Amino acid sequence: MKRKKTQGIFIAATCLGLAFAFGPVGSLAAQDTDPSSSCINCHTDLEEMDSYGAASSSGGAAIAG
Amino acid sequence: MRGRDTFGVAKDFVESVHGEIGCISCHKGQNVDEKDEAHKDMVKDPSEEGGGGVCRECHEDITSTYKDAMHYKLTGILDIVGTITSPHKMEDTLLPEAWELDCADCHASCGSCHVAWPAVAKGGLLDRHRFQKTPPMDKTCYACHGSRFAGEYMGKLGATADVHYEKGQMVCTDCHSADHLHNTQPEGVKRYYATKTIRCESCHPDAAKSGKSKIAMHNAHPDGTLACAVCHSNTYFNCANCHVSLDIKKPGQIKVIFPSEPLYTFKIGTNIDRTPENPYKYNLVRHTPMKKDSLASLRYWQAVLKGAPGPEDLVANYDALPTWNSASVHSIQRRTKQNSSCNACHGQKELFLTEADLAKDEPTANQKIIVKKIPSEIKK
Repeated sequence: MKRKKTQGIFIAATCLGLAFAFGPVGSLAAQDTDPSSSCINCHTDLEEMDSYGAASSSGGAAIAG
Repeated sequence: MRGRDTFGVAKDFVESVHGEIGCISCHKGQNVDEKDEAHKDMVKDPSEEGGGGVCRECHEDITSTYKDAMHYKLTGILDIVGTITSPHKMEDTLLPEAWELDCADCHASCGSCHVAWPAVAKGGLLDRHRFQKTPPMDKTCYACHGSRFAGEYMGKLGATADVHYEKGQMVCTDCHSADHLHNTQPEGVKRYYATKTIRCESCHPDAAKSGKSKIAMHNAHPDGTLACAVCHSNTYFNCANCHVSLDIKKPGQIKVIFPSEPLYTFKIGTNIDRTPENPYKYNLVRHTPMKKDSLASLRYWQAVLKGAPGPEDLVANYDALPTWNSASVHSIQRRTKQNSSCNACHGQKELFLTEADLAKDEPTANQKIIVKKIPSEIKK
């Protein structure tokens, strides 16, 4: 009975150790996929963005007060 | 002035504190390459909702007061519109639509000053989405206040720029602190009742007390008589006849137009907004471009847009408020025409707002502003 309990504790400790060891690797892997990567790719292309701006910047100023 | 409608984002912004939050965390939308799909459900200004929006998550201290601030709620304009159109109810008129079309352009979210050009400038990002801790006054303050204070201050209107700008190179926030702008007191209805506004005496203590000043003219005028600008301001911009009108050129494209004749004047009037912080008997006054029939066209457009005309007398309570109002003129100079000698002001009737300056159809409340007795010329 005592041997079984020791074996259980050993298995649990091993699992925890593995989880800690591979945890950071898992997090780094997740960071590679930026949840805003498409937005950034497009909006940091300043030349492309400015071409939209140039097209839409006609019209007068409105000074209110 | 207007911005340039571009939405390019600097790469260094992406690595900044705000950039690391990620676009979608604030702006929603989808992280896909196809433009329309990416922008589906996108929130253009995530700082808008409730006077703080997503900014509230980290800047609760500021947003908790900004939701009630003058620049967010526009309570000053709303209060005036409500007063002069009383007893009509806003919902029975076209005023809510007119408000959205024009007045609301001066409403400022956090992003309107710290990230993008204000709505009235109809532009895009100020500096590639880099957050501006102190908003650039020539783009943000000037966009809304360019036809008065900021225009005068920067020398784009009137005879001279303000000496604090010209020589002191001071920006708006040097006097109008962030704390004041984010937390208007009390309730932001009337700026002359605010208790946190900086006073000239805060930086010029030597000028403060009559009888204790090094300057003879300061000693000659008892405390609480003249606002500093009465002696130290140059001529300033005014509007005369303003008729607000709606112009519909194409279906769905409605524009508010403001034909008005600009004037450069200098008028000393009676200060009716006297408080411990603004105790002066005389102040400079500026004409508010509002006539009794200024909103008359809304009656016609209400018939066009809603099927029934609006009230005939929309500005029913026109007489309640003056159209000559206290002015915080921002063209301050040490030496001016009127302070060059005693008699450059005393006996100079044209410097004072009198009955002769009032147009026939102006509100009766203007009677409280006119100066009944012009200070007489000083005999040597």
